[in-house]
Amino acid sequence: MQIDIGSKGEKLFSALLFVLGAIIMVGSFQIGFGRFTKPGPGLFSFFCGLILCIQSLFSIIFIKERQEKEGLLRDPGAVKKFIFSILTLMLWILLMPLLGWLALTFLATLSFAKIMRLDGWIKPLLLAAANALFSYFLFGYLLLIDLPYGFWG
Amino acid sequence: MEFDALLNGFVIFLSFKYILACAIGAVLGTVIGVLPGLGPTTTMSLMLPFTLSQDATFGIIMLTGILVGSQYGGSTTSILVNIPGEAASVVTCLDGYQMTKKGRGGAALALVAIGSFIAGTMAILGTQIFAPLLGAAALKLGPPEFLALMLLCFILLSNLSGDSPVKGSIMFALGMWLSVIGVGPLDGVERFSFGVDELMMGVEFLPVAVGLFGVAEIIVTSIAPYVPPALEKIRLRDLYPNREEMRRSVGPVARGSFLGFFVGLIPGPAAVISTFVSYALEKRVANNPGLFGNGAVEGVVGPESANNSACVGSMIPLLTLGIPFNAPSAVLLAGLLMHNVEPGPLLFQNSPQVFWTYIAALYVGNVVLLILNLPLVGLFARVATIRPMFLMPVVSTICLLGVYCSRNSMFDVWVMLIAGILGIFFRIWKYPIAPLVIGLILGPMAENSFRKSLLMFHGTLWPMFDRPIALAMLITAGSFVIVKTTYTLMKKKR
Repeated sequence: MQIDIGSKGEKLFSALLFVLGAIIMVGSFQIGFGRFTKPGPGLFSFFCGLILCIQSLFSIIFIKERQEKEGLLRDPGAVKKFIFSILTLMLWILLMPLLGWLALTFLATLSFAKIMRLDGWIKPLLLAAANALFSYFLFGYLLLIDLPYGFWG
Repeated sequence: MEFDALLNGFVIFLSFKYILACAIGAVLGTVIGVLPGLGPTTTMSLMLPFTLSQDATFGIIMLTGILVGSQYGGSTTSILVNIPGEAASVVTCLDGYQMTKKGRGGAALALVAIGSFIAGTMAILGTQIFAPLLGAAALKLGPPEFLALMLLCFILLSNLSGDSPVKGSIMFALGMWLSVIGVGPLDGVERFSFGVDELMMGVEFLPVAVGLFGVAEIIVTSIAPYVPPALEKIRLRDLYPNREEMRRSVGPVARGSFLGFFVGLIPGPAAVISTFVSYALEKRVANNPGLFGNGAVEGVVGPESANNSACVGSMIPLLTLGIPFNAPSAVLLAGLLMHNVEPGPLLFQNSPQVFWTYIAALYVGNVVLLILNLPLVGLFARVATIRPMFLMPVVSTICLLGVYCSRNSMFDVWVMLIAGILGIFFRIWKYPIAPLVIGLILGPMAENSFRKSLLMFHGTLWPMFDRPIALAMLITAGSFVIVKTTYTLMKKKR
């Protein structure tokens, strides 16, 4: 699976920024400008939105078309790693109340180690266990931070 | 009176807690400097939650230790294996690695450590002298002056933080808008929270910074892991420079110290800029410019002295005006604000002990870094051989847990994740990240100055031109735009 993130992707991103700028300007108008002699809460954000709109428009106009043969997300393997990395982080957040932080630290470390192609299973498991232990020592023992243990606690 | 205050600062600093903060910062900073990818800004952001359990002085000492330590550490891999540990050490690769190829790598490391120590000490002395004076003068600045300064920051940061001023200004405006989200402090009006309860508290700096710098770096490294270099062992006896090298280092260290200090006062990536300017200067004044690029010791010692001096000098605008001119200063400001210490003109009146303890810590920290980087440089160099597949999973859990435990909020972790994903695309499309984080932290001050100026001048900003300091800043901003535009047009014509 390939994602075109070259000049077309950049133009799309600039267009999204333009839309965001427009939303900010409309939102600021709804919040209220006040008057220049008595500026309201929406005046400053209106100018932020205006700068966003103008500059993203420049960006769209002046982005040069280019054929990129190399780049961070050009090959399917890279895209897979990108998606798995994001999924690992999302699952860490979603499963925290259920599994607790220690178990998730172990699983997230294991996941990242395998995404980064650490050979075999013994090294990743040892790394995951060591990281979980280190995290417990740092957050649980030294800093005494109250973190959720899920159904373990 | 200042000497008494400095002595008092040393007395306060010489406690186990602050010495520990200094040591942790120095070691961590040196390690981070050696490792490619993880820069000082990312590490400082990661360490912010850990400073919350201690006081402001602890936090600022540790975070500055990381920043200055990374400048020392960054030169190690630049010299030994031609891989810069962080952005400010790129220039060091040009001649540092050539010196290693000639068998003088150890001498280069020693000269860089000593030069950085001297430059750092001179910059700390400059900070000690000028910061209180500037702080006193800053009391005379009002909202129009601060607004003019914000505009100057906007212009300079947009232009100096990347290849495209358009992208730089987009990021700055985006950061400013993010700072507006939540309940407005002046009116109590809900702004851009879109009905989300957590957004009414605003977007916190920490998850955004950790996401943009830390999570983005983790994901980029997982997609394309760097290959650690093969290093030769550095022995203690290899660290001695010869007389000729020492003689040739004196001028560059002195020039680098002064140059770096004043570059540090300018908005933008001061440490990086100072290295390029120093290299160009040394090449210009050298008796034999042809040596540059082939192992000229001046091309190594000058830039490294300059970047250390710039790091310390960049603290002055933060401490005296409360305005960060680069991303690491923005993280420091966030740290101070988290501890309810507001840097700026009132710092010297309300919390002078914070400033003087910080100065004392800088002096001691500089000595600690020299000690670490001379005999232990071989050990730190070994850190660069750790494979990213061991390092990044550990860093990822520190990001997640660190951000979560700052407010026990899963929402912050989601913000971090979204910022991390956006950070990757910002990197791909070369949108500079520093203006966004600086806009996020400066936004409230900018809005405050803007609204107060309008109130003062009854709805117009023209009277700003009648105020000399504001006028000087506006002229500087305008001149920069004119010069840059002219230069770009002339370059295109050729």
